[in-house]
Amino acid sequence: MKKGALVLLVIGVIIAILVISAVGSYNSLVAKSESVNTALSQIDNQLQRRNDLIPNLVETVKGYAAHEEEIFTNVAEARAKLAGAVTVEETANASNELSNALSRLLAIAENYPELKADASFRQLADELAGTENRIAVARMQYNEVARDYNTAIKRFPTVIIASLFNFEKVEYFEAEEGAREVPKVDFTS
Amino acid sequence: MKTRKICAALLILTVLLAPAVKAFGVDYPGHTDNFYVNDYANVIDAETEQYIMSVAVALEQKTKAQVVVLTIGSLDGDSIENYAYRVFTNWGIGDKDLNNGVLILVAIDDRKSRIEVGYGLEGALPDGKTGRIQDDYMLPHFRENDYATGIKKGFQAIVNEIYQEYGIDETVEVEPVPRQRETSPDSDNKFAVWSIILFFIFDWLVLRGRITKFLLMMFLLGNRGGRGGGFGSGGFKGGGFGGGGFGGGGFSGGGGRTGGGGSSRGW
Repeated sequence: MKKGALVLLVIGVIIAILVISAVGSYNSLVAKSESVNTALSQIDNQLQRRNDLIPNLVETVKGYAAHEEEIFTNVAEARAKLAGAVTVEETANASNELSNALSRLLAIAENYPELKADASFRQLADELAGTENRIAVARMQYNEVARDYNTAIKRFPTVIIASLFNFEKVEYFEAEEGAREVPKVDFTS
Repeated sequence: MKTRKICAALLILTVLLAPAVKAFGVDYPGHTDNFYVNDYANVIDAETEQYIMSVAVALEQKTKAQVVVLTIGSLDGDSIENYAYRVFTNWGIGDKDLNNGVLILVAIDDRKSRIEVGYGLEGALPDGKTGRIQDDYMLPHFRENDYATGIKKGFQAIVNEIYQEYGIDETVEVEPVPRQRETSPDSDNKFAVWSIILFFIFDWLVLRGRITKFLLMMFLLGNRGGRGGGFGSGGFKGGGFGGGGFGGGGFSGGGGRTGGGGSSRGW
């Protein structure tokens, strides 16, 4: 009788420890997953910020170089693609494409000295470059927390909790090589 | 007991490693004791350096904003945006809560400059404005290899924008006027030392050392907590003397962050 009680007690203690540690790792997974979401919305903010800059920038460039239609079309297409992107990977690729289109848009200023000297163009170009850099920073921060989260759900014993409660691997915000091209116009001359 | 030893060992290690924080294969420099002026490329004369120091310290005392100048030779192949971001974050420029730091980075050999703006000052210093500040005040002098003047003027323009943002009726002259005040570098230091001594005497006489004890406790607790990352681990941060802190023999960052705002130029 006494022995039975002891065994029960030991089992009870073990179960209690298991439950406590399960709750602990569940909570830490929730926290990690939440910071992944926060970081992702930070990227979205910056993408939106860039999106808001585009109409003004395109208008300004059109004022000096109306016939560079191909570039304007490229920008519009990339923009539409980004708007339609759903997954992180799609967004990363579309965002990269838009970056490239915008850097070509800025680059045509090299051929139009008057555009290059235009004060509002310079300002918009700076805002755009700054926003591209903010996107890069937000992306880096997102990938850091995503890596942290992805490692956590793969690690034992957290992996048990993760599969029990459907914590899934998140994608990294990564486009193909050359994503870090920040559009630049050389205002030197 | 053991943990304390490990903490101490880590602390020593951090201090030893602090001057060269390594990431991505590029050595990012640590800041000098002056914190606000880090002239690693040796292009700023002593007088200008002294001037920037005094203006930056005054600005920090009034607004908690920190404007830091860093000159380097080469970026070692890194982009100036990434370099500035790393240094800004490692040094923690600006107040921890206000994130009101600015980094003026000039890479002499690469002929590139960047003004990196912390989250909290993006309104006062939007990217377009930082670009214009470089165009109007800095690059013309940089092209004539007069880095000290360019940096000084850009610095003044930024400081004025920050004063304006905080609604403080104070401007520093944008024209370089040779300083003829009786405050030599020497007496500036003496003043600082005397005010600290007086402060402690006051504290012990009137408050029975409460502030001193509090600061000591903060310092000890801070170290025991094992400050993560361990960048710029010296000294009292924030909440010390006017936020700047005289702790580990110099000034240091307040823990401010940047989201990558600002603009870059080449010349």
